[in-house]
Amino acid sequence: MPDTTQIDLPAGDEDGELGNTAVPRAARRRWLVIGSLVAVSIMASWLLAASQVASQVVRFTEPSDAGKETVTDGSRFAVVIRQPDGPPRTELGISDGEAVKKLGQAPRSYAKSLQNTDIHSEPVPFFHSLGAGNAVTAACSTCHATREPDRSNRRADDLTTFHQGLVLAHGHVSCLSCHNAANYDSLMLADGTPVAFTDVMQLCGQCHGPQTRDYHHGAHGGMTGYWDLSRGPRQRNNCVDCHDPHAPAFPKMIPTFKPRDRFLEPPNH
Amino acid sequence: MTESSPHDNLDRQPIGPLLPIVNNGPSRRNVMKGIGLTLGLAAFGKAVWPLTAVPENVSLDEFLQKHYKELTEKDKEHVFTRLENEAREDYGADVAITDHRPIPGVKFGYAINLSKCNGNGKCVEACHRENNHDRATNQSYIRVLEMQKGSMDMEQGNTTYDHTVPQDDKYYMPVQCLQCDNPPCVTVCPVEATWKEDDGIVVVDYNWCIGCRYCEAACPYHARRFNWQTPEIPADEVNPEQSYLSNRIRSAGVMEKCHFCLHRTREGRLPACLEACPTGARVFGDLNDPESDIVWILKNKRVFVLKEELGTRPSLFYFFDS
Repeated sequence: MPDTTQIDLPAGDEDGELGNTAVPRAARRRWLVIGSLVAVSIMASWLLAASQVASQVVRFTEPSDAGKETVTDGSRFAVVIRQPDGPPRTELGISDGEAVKKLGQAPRSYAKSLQNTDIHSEPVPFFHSLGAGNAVTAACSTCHATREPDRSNRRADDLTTFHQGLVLAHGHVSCLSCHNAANYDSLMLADGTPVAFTDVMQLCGQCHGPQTRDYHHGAHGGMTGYWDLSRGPRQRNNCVDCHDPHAPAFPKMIPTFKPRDRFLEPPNH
Repeated sequence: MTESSPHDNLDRQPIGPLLPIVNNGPSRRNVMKGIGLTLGLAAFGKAVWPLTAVPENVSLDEFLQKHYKELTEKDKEHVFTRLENEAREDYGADVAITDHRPIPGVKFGYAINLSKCNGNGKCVEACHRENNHDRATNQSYIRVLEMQKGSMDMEQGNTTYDHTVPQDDKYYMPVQCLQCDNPPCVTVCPVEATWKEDDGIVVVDYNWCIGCRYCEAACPYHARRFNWQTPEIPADEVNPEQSYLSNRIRSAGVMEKCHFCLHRTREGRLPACLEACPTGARVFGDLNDPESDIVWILKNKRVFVLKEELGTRPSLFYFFDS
């Protein structure tokens, strides 16, 4: 209250001086009172508004502070890199009931027919539609344990018996650059160290350095989960989730979803 | 045509002293009074006329709802319950609307790898589903521009391509709200229905927006969208996880824009478009955390921002691998 009168008094005095000759004394006093009342009411409403704003600010920071406490508990969740299941199992394209029947009847001819198909391709849907038993799969070592590795096979075209139709478009590497001739159920680094199929990223990383560096900084490869590891874990893809190791170029795609708003209508519409 | 004039009627049935204007004949004074009364009534009618323009489907609560920043916790509870009920009535969906506030000390940044993006549009679709966009228009906050290699002319960018991607002579540039630090859209809003929050996200109060579309005109990136009609969404496709400032179902006549999926990111989760990207072209994180992926990219990659010369200072960056 003292503030307002201090501010207001000079104004009142000025008025008084200006109107000194014309306005009677009583009228001057009346204007002084009215003026100070107006000033007081303006300042009061301004103070009231300011206090309201201040209280709102406080109110809105409360939930944020509450959130902060849960953040700073110190624990951090893991970045989980998804791994392949292990050594791949080759589907033979038949169900177990069919296999017994066919192999029992004419093992030689069936084995011969198998040679001419790509046993790494998708299983033949016909057998699945029958629903008769499980698809027959075989480990790599099932065949390769008894066959000598042929180091002259460098490209897919070189293969004359099994693995027909395999597409190998991966630089100048050959089969045994990555596959382990000593144990076909594992892979092999360039220095001959065996590496499990589940740790395939070690294998890829020995040549693809920049990609590996980018991967570990989140700049290569997709992810799901949490950006904030103090709140939840993050899941990362591994190399072969997105890249076919035999033909690693990322495949072409067809866009399936397009907005249809009026800006995107063809111009002749 | 009728024979009798209004005056005849009044002469036959004097109304009494309550209406001296009528009974005392057309003196100058009475005429002036009559004109004054008429004009007064007309002015009053004109003043209250806008009340009749309140659409049928706008409840009194909605009409009287205050700006988001002025809502108390109790108000918010009230408003969110009303919005949830509306979603149930209009869309048959049980939704939960919450209020996600910025995480203290966090400033969001987003980076898109143009060497990786192949224009497949999965991000566009993920945004569409996550953010309860209109199914009829396939609306989305993201548009992917197919651009000629070597050109930055966005006007030549094509968003309607439907061939196999990527084409050898093209590159693909997804554009969404860049969450500018100096946002022209916020400056032009005449009712302050849009503003920038502490974590950098520019948000819209869909109930405060008057739909003037100034912000749409002001945005140099065409990142804002107008709801020309009420979104149509089947009940089983409504994303029930909603936030007031982000993906709750918008009504016709309001603006909307990308909000970095704040209902996810303010819980620490990654945005929907990032999770959907099959090429891993998108990187999201906290610009204030020196150990974050996004900061590593800004330090180590060739990074640029869109239309840097406009001084909008975006929080979304583009980069290349080499």
